[in-house]
Amino acid sequence: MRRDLALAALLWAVLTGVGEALLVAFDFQPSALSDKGERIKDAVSILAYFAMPVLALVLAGLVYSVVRFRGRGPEEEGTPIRAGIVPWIWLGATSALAFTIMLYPGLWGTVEVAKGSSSQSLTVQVEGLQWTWLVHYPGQGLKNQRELVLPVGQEVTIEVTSRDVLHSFWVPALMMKIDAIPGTVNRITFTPQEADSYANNPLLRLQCAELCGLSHARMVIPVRLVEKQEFLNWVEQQKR
Amino acid sequence: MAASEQVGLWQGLYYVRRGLLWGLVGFALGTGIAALFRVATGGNPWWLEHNFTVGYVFGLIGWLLGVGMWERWVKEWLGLPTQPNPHGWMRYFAFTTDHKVIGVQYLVTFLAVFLIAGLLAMLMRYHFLDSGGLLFDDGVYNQVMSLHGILMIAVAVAVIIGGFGNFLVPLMIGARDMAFPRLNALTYWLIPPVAILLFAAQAVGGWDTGWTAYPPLAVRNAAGQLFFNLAIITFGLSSILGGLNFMVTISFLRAPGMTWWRLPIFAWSILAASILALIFTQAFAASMLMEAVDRLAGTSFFAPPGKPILYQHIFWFYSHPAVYIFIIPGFGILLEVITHFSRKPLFAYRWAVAGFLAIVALSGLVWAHHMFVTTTEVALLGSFLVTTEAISIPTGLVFLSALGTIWMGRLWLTTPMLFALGGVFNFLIGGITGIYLADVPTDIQLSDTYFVTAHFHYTIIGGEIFALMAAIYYWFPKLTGRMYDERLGKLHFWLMFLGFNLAFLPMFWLGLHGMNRRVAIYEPGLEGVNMFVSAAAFLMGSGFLVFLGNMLRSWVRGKVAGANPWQARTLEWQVPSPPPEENFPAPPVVVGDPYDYGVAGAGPHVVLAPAGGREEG
Repeated sequence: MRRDLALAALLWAVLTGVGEALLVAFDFQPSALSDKGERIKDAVSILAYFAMPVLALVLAGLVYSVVRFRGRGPEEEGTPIRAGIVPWIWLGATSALAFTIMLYPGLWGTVEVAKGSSSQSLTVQVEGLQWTWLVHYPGQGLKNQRELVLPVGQEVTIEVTSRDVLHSFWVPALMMKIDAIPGTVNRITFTPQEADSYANNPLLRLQCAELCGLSHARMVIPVRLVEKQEFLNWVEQQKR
Repeated sequence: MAASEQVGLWQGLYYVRRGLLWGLVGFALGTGIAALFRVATGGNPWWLEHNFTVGYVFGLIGWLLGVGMWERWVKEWLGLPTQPNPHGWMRYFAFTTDHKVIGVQYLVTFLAVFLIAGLLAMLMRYHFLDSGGLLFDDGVYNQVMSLHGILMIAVAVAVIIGGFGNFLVPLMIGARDMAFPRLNALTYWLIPPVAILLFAAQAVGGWDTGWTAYPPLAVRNAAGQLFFNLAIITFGLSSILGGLNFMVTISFLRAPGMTWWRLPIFAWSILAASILALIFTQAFAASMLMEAVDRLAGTSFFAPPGKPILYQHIFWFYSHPAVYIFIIPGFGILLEVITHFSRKPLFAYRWAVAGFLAIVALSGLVWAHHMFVTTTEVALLGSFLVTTEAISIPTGLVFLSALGTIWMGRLWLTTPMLFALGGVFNFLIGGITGIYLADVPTDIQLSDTYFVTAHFHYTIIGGEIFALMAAIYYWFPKLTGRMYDERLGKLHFWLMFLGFNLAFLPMFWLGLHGMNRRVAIYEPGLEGVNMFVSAAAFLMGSGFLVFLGNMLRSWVRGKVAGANPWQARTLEWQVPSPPPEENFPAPPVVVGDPYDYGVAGAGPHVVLAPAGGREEG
């Protein structure tokens, strides 16, 4: 029994080590092009680091038992073991883990990503309707744009609403999503980090993420992240 | 009885035929009454959605009476003599009160629905071989996806509780039948109208709101949506009554000596799921009713100026606990199968029970994690993050029990054991990825993507359906009296286990790389991974052909199994296979624990003939 425990623990440690090393070596996510998106991407990685020992523990227990504790039929019986304090230790460890991730990246990250706008914010209104998006720039006097153009390094607040049914504002590359609800305005604030465009990066698209009927899948408009000067030029151009 | 075994097909289906006829008469009557009412109030007699709704209610009543509720229940209310259950195969096609017949009715019905919905999944995977879609236009895709969703949800709700719960719980606890046998028959016979409605809806264009039916879209939708709402209200009624019946049965009909701590873990899991079904399904039915009334009577619960988000609160108040209605019976089966085939007592049994009950308690407090992207209100986001992640703690106790049981066991790797161990592994992936959807920051990116699709398929197929397969193979000898083919069973396991994991693991990656849910087309860059997923899905689908062949052949020609081929200790294995109609010749007496394999000096779990039993105990 003691030898079995030691071997299974070794298997657990090896699996955990290999798993964590793979997580460090390979970036399994696309890059995030907004400040909050980077935090979200980090949270995905942090949770993976936390998850790996749990995954490895159960896997080690399953694999070791299947390999070592084989029987051929009902005549062979196992060795009953008393639970003793094991469930208390298990409960303590799982609770500690759960409460840890609730605080970080959970609640800490929630406050970070829900942070509202400052007075420096550029306000952009996005309206969903079956089955397209309309983008308005009230400060710039631009209406009904069919492209979301945002300046890099500038804090942006998107005011999202809908004209008909539920939609959801989602730009995968910015890692930002908020529902578009008729009769309600939802606001999200973030700062784009890098110039790029839909033509180059298919994740830079404003895509509806809430099933909204017939052409839901086609409810996409391009997104372009540009330098501040280029943004001003674009605004001028659109006004003409 | 021998004579009645030979009834012809036409005669054998008498009750179903009469049910359909009376149902049609009821439908016509209801439609007419609605028309008269509309004329009397000065309107156009034909507003089809109104007429149809009233017609459906009358038709439902006609169907239930016709299928046999009349002879076996309603006549009693009128002071007339009732008639006993029909015999032979005919009893499977009539309002029959035997819990074992009802269990088989549920199991066969929902396996058929499962295979149909699975076929739809295969069609969708074929569609996705090309990023522009190969098979469907947008409208048909939405219709097929929505139908697949609700059919599979219905299977997940009812197949284990309705099938194995009905068949096994009275046997396991030493009861003659369920507490309310006629109510039990009613819960089953409410199901065919649900199926008829959902399939008939396709003829009027179906509905394209998935299984979640969010307004305002669902209020503006074509008439198929109304069929959906009526079907779900009916299905909810069935679920609520079933939950009530199981709670009363397990609480009050346990055999002498069957204390709470001698109750098989599967019976505990059905009790836990029944509490959830009784309490929470009412919210589901209410949300569907309010949505239907918004359409039919011009109320505005959810339609403007009402609040569409209110619907989501009510809907998820049921629909999150519902996933525990799916999975807790699955946990019960996994632990039950694992302990019998580890030939060792169930480890930390009371802790596992405490885990079930804690999940029941917490599950009512987590619904809004489905709504993290509807708002930026930190008070809502934070509190539901905490409650949702807390539910991983009692779930962990189930894993403790499973791992502790196989540790130092003598694992007999039969087909049901393979499915049970595979189910533990799959549910682990489902549970870990669930944390990403409970965590607000990561959920902002991942909600409504294929990450979610992968996650809930890991919990529902990977956990519950693997448990269902374990249950089917484990109890097949009890249900049919015959043994399945072990080699085909193992082939099925490996096709399904590999196919499932290869199909759904890459979906997490797809979600992370921007593929959203419920879309008929997707970004061309994701085509390669999607083709791989489709190929793996077909592999998994082929496993079900093996399964179906094995089941049908073994049912007819399998080796005779005997009462207890697994040499299991629990009560259901101590009676002949298949069990006689009265279950036990005399009430059994429970004298020991159900899982004392390998325990020195342990007596049996149960003594069937009480007179001789006292010395043995």
